[in-house]
Amino acid sequence: MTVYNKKKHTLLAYLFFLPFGVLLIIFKLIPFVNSVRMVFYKWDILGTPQFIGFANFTRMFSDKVFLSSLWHTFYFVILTVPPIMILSFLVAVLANSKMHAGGFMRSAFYLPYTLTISVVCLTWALLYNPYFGLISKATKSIGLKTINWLVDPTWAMPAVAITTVWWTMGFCVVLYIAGLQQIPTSYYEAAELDGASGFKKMIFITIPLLKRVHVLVIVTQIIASLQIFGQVYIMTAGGPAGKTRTVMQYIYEQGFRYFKMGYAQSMAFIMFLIMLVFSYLQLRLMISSSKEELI
Amino acid sequence: MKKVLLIISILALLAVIAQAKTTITVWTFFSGGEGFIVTDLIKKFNAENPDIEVVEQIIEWGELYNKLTTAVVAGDPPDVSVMHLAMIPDFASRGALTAIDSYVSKDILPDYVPEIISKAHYNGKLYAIPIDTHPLVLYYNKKLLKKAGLVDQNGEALVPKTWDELINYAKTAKTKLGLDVGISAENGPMTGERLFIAYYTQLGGEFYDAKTNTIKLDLEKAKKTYEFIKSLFDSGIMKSMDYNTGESLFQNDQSPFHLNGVWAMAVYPTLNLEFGVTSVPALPGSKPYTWADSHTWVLPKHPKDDLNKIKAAVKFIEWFARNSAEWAKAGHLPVLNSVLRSDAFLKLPMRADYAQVANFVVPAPSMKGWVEIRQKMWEINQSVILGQMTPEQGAKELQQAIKNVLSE
Repeated sequence: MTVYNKKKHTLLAYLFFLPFGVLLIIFKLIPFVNSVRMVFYKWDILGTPQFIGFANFTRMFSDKVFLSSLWHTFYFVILTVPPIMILSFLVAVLANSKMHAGGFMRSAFYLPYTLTISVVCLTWALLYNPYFGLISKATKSIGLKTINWLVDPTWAMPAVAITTVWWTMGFCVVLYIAGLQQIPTSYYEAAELDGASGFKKMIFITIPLLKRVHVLVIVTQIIASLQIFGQVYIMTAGGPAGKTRTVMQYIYEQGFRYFKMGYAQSMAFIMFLIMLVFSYLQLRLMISSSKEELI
Repeated sequence: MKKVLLIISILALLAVIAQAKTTITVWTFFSGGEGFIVTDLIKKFNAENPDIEVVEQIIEWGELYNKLTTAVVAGDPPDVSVMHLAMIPDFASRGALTAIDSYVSKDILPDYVPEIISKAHYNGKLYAIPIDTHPLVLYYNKKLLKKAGLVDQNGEALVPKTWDELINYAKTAKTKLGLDVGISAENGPMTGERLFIAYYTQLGGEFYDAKTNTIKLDLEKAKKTYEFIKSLFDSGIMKSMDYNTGESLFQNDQSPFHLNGVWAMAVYPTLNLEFGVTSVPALPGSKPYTWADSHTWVLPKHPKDDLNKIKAAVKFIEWFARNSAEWAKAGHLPVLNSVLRSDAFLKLPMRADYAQVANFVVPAPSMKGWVEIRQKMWEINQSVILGQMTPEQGAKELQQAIKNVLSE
């Protein structure tokens, strides 16, 4: 390839990048810079922004509602990420097996993921209903006390978490199935020759070789769960007594209901930093695991 | 010759402009039964006013206020928008609305229910034409009350006039019929804001101090109100539930009493339900004051005022208010006295049973920040019901919330 051609190619590459690049700058970069600037201002969307320095941040860390929302958000992450990971792994193993149920399992667990959030939440809200819901009918029939799921402060968040696990785990099942299919069967054959049990094969072959998938699932689910908004907004509206209010909902309320854009933006900025940490963690873990594979 | 031609063509052009229709865009968030009525009324207005064309754009209920804000920022808002009375201060204070004092007809304002039209003002200026009021009322299930033996000498279901009567009837019906609840109501806005305001006002409490022009709270009366609401839950007459559950229980003959807004009247008469509707009970010595909000028409602020459009828009919204007997079919109460007393309205089914409520409505104070305060009210109320706060702590927390919002 001549020097001239190389230049031409580079030019062509930039040309192809141009439409995307322009859109990226207009719709992502400029708003991002603006939004970071907004954390130093008080702004009601219609008036002129008023510079207030770091006041939004000092306020945030003495705001009881923000701190409780932050805790509710992490509580939701704790309630959803481990079950999603463990359940989707187990389902993937079953779906990947040669059993007849494999195809059924695959579709049964992936289907919920194709539903829209409002359908999922309204359906589950009905299931949870203590007077008409299926769950209370079932618990009543075996003599258990009826739980008023969505308006009970102890059960509201777990109820939302159960719904979320049911809704989203199908996606992780697919990731795990893809990972499982990449493990060469020769490993298992070798292990069988050495007389390894199914359990041992699971512990020493399947789980370690799926490390990249584990990292991917954990990190994407943590980031997704940190952004929980729709489910609580539809199912509990943040109640009872604000016990299921998450940071995203608080940002929405402050920004779009009370028109405190600067304050909302500052909280969004903190959430951005938290998610950045997890993304960085993912990157590092992915790099280290791919290095291991080279060895 | 050329000059004459030019003048003629200019005149011709002006004639065309004069004849051209003024187009008014209107944003609404009404759907279902309410939606049809608005659309029909707009059609009727367009037919009666050939020089004006009103074009309706339906916006998703939950998105209208955000969209309106963005549209005003972008300089391209609709000419008219629907807005709840309680939202007006937040929008007017940010310069998002056009004051319409000098455009409305002189005879329309004195015709209004005073409580409603006063709240359509902000800082002394008129920003909206209210078209209805939708207060909290009490629904009762005649079949259940009769079954429980709660009848007068004529065999008609007893209708509670005081809170004590309501509690007694609800308790009796609940125990006799083995029901889960005696009064069904959603426990967010319905008890936290609407029931609270009804009871608190009946105690003589106020939210607005005209002298200092601020929101205020009477701690003692707020405490008493929370004690009252908590007692309803502690005794098991009421239970925590969401809006749909509250409605379903009432609609399926599983709750003798139901607290809800008059908007439910758009649906209940169509169901196979033996029910009645009346004002919320009153405390002895008080009138049956009750919470209410109201739908209004406002003129969002354009970068440049177009006098023609403003006049046409005001003409439309006044016409709508005067024709609100039709709109009242959705269950809402008219707010123009002339319509409230009209046969067209009173002939609608059961309207005579609750038309008087319009005179005892307590709309949100016309203050910026109310939207934030009422959200606090919903949550504090839930905390009190759940026993996480005493009624006294609840009252103090609410007072603190008001202070915080006002100090912004």
